Amino acid sequence: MLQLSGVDVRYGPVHAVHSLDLTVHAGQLLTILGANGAGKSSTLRAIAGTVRASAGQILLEGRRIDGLPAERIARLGVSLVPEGRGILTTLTVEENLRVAAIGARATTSFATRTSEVFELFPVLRERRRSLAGLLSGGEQQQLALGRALVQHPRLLLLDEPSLGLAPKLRGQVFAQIDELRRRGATVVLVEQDAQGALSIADWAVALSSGRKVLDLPAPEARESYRELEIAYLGRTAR
Amino acid sequence: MSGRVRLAIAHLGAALPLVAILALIATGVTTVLGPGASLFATTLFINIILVVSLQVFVGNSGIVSFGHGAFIATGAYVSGLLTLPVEVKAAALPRLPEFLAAIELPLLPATAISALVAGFVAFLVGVPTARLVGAAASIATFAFLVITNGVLVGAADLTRGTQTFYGLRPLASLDVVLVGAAAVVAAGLAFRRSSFGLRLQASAEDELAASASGIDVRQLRLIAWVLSAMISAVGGAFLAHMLTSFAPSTFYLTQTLALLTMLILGGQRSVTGAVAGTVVVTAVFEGLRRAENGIDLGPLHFSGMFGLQQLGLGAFLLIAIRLRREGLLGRRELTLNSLFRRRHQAERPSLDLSRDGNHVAGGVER
Amino acid sequence: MDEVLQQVVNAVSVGAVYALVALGLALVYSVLGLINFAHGELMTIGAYAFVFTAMAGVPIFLGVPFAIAASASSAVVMERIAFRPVRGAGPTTLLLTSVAVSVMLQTAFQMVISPLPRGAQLPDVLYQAVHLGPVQLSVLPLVSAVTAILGSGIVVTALRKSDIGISIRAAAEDFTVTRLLGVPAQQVVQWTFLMSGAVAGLAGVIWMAQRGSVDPLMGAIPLLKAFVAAVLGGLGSVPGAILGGFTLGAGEILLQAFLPTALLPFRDGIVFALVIAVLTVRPRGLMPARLGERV
Repeated sequence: MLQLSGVDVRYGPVHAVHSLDLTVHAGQLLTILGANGAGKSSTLRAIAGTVRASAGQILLEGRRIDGLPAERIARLGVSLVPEGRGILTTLTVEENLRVAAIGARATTSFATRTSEVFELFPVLRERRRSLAGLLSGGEQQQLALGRALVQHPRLLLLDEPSLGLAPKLRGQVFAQIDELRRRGATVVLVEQDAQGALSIADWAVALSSGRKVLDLPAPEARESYRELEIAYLGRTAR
Repeated sequence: MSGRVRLAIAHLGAALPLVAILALIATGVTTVLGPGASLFATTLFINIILVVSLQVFVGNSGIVSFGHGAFIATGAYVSGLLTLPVEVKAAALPRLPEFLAAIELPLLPATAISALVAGFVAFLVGVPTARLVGAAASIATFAFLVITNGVLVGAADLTRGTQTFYGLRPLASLDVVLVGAAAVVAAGLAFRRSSFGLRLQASAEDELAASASGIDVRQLRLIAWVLSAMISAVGGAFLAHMLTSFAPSTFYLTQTLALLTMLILGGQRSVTGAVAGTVVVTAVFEGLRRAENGIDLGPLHFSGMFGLQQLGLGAFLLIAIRLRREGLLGRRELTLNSLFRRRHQAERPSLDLSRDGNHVAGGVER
Repeated sequence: MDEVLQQVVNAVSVGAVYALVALGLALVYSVLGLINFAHGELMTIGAYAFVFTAMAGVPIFLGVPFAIAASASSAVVMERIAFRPVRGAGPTTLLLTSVAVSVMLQTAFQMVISPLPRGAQLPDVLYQAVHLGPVQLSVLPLVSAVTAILGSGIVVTALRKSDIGISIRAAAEDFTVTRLLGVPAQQVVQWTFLMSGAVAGLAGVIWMAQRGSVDPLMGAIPLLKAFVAAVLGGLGSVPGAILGGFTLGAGEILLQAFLPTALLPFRDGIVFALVIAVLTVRPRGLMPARLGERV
């Protein structure tokens, strides 16, 4: 469904991602792991189009999407929940969802789409008229996911959804993501919380300094302590 | 030689290339275009003084100032009052206080005094407003311009109000102005590279980080504000003695926008940029004026009669901005160092901001 | 009593026009970070359009919408030609671009139309006084105030409720996230300019009606007042701009009414001194745009 070949991402002189190859199959949950600065977010941004890959190709169901403007890519069915969630704090919960519906040029009505979201995240229905900036961290996370859902995405990109959340909430987030995957979404999940991510993932990739160091089915990845160490701590092979 | 002295000499020496270029321009213009062009050259160097004075504040603090016209006017009126022949004063300004009516000074002392007055006013105004940033600061400077204009109009006993202040002796010769411009350029460069300048630029980039590092941002802004006010006054004094007659409107919106244009086009981050922008805009304007064969008024004057000139200048600006977004020179300075330094190859960024339409949300002007 | 009420109406009338212009400025600034110095010329375009229709005998209720449409479309064209190529450049570059556009337009008006003022014959009723119960009020300021308030109200409602309004507010807060949600950035920008042009056109008509004529440089003063008002209210905040506009207008009229004659020429200076005073106490304006905004 999603294929990256030889993707490079640079920010001026900084080389964030080196020649990355990645494949995600439909209905899969791929998790990208690695330390800070490893290039995980940059990869997602390149897919979503907020950053342009300086080399390589990105294919969505066989069609090239690298170089397209971000809103085109979003309308092709790719939803990115950026790091920090990107909640529009000066708008209400309902308005946040509505922006997503406007962007999606929804064929089903706004009411239908929001009721889908409220079914999954009932707390959002209670807080629908609150200013999004006043929600708690966990509620904002749900809003971010809900917003992505309104777009009925084919591909869901999540950048550190558990960031800043208390451990108990983190478990909830992973459960919610797992639920979305069971409903048919294809998910690429970037996470620092390797344990949590691996508990729901089908496949795992680890990046270190912009290069891929691990590319395994999740169950095997959970056993590959050494490679994970290298990815996170940069230790050379013993 | 102590370290400080050596550092000072290094700063001044760094200005050598720019100063040399200025001298070249002066001689080149007069020899190539003939003595009639000395008026153009004088205008050019006065503009350079005025724009560099703006750069000292705007380029280092990141705050766009609409208020420097007030200091230019201060320089003009104060120096004018001090150099005006006694007979002219008796006729034009009958109600002047005794000590002013009797005095008649040469250009340089008068200029120096006017600079001190401007610096004092700048200090008074700057102390309460030094904490403002961004758009609020710019509005404050604009308000200051309006207020000063009102004061000039109102204090008719000293300024002749809206009527022309006339009769000044044409003391601003090309030599004097050239030396002045060279000195101002050197001073501007020195300030920019000094620890004051560097700390101020740091605070403009990231105020929070700078103040966390112990930098007193308000004090630095105040220093830059006062210094630039004094330099503006010098330019104003020279301008007054070139024009030999003027009114409060000479130092109001039209001049302000013209000077800002020269600064921003050249790149407000560097003195070299300020000079380059001034040269280009003054030259283009002069060229358009000759092409249109309009009335000879010498200094930059956006008047309704010069339709083609303004249109041409506006179009030129739009094209220039399109081609060079950061201003002609961006942040680069022309100094001895930069001439002998090797260039690195900068990698081309993959982030295409123009297409993304990203912008910084928020109210800060850099 | 009549006198006081008349002054109040005047204050509201002037304030409402400033608010209208300021909100147009704030709208564009909030989305693009651009202070559009050419906004005054958008007003002038609206005024000229209205004057020409009036001279051609077109009734007011058609002339005004025509003027609004003229300004709105000019704004969109302006965006396409002048501002889109420099999108993403620093704020000072954007400022300079808008100044260049402003100067060029002013010159174009002088060259193509006339440097002299052009007037239009407005219906006599506007210059009379109306009786509201026991008091007598001039019609023109009353009509101006009502029109301006209505105009602002329509824009604010559109921003609150309509799809495009919500998109604009979203883009004003975070352009990137809005694009990630699939909202087409280019269209949002165009609509923003369209709306700001429309209010400028309406304000231009009202301003012209109050002055009696339109001339090429007419937009300069309201622009500067609106700029001050927008910053006073909190740059980038539409409700702030409206508040700033009314505050500035009220301040002007109050001072005009109560200053001793000798100080009257200093009225603008005093108003501005007060503005500086307010800004020193509240540097981000009376109603800043967002919580937790970077300074």
